[in-house]
Amino acid sequence: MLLLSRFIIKGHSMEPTLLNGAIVLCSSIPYFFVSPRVGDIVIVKDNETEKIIIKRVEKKEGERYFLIGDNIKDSLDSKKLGWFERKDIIGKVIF
Amino acid sequence: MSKILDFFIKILPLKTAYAHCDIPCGIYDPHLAQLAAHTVIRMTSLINDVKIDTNAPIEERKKFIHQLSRYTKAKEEHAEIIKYEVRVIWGDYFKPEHVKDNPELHELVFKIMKSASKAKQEINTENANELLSAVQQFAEIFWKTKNRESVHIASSYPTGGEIVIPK
Repeated sequence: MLLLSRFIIKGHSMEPTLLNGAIVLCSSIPYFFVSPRVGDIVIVKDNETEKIIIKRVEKKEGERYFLIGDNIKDSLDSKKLGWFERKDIIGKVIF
Repeated sequence: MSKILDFFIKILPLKTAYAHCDIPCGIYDPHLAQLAAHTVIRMTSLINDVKIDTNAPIEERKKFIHQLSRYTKAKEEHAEIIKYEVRVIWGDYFKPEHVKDNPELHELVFKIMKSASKAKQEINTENANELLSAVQQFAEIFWKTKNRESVHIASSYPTGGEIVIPK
C-alpha cells in the first residue's frame, strides 16, 4: 500500500522518459478504481531480488503484466524476468 | 496552494526505484566529463572573443551571429555532457562505502550540477574554470576508489590547464 511516495530513479532503463537520478511521485490510489493499463509507468516489486523497480506496462493478460523499460536497447525487464503479478505492482507514477 | 502541496510532497520520504539495465557494463571513466569541461571553457573564451560590429553590413553581421550561435550550442551541449557523465558515475558506479570514504562526494556532485547549469546560462569564465576544477576533483575521487593514484598532467588543448588521469 502506497498512498503517495517519492522515488529516486537509479539506472538507465527508463531513459529517455526518466533519467538516472530523476525523482517521481507514485501512488496506489489510481489502482483502487482501475487496474494498471498498458502505457502506465508503474513501481513494482521484483520478488527475485526483493528490489523495487520501475517499468512501463507493455501488455496485460488477466492479472499478469508484461513490463518493459523505455530504453529498449538496455533494460532488464519482463523480457528476462517474466510476467509480473498484479499484487506486485505497488503504484502508478503520477508525476 | 501549490506551495503547500510542494511542501507536503517534499517531506515525503525518498525511496529508490531501480531502473535496471540489462547490461551492467562496469565501464566508467570521468575523462569525457573533463574533456567537456575544457570545451565549456574554450567556448566561453571564443564567445568572449567574437568582435561584434553593429554597424557592419548585414552579411558580416550574419557571420558573427552564426559564429556565436555555434559556440553557444557547443557550450550548451558540453555542459550537458558533464552533467550526464557525472550523474552516471555517481548513480551507477559509486557505492555507499565510497561515499563513506569520501563524504564530500554528494556535495561535490551537487556543485557540478549547479555549476554546469550556470555555464549554460551565462558567459562566465570564472564559473567555467570552477566547473573544470570540480570535475577534476570528482575524477580524483573516482580513481581513488579504484585504488589508482591520479596525476595532473598538462592538457594539450587550447584551454591550457590540466587533466587528471590515473597514474
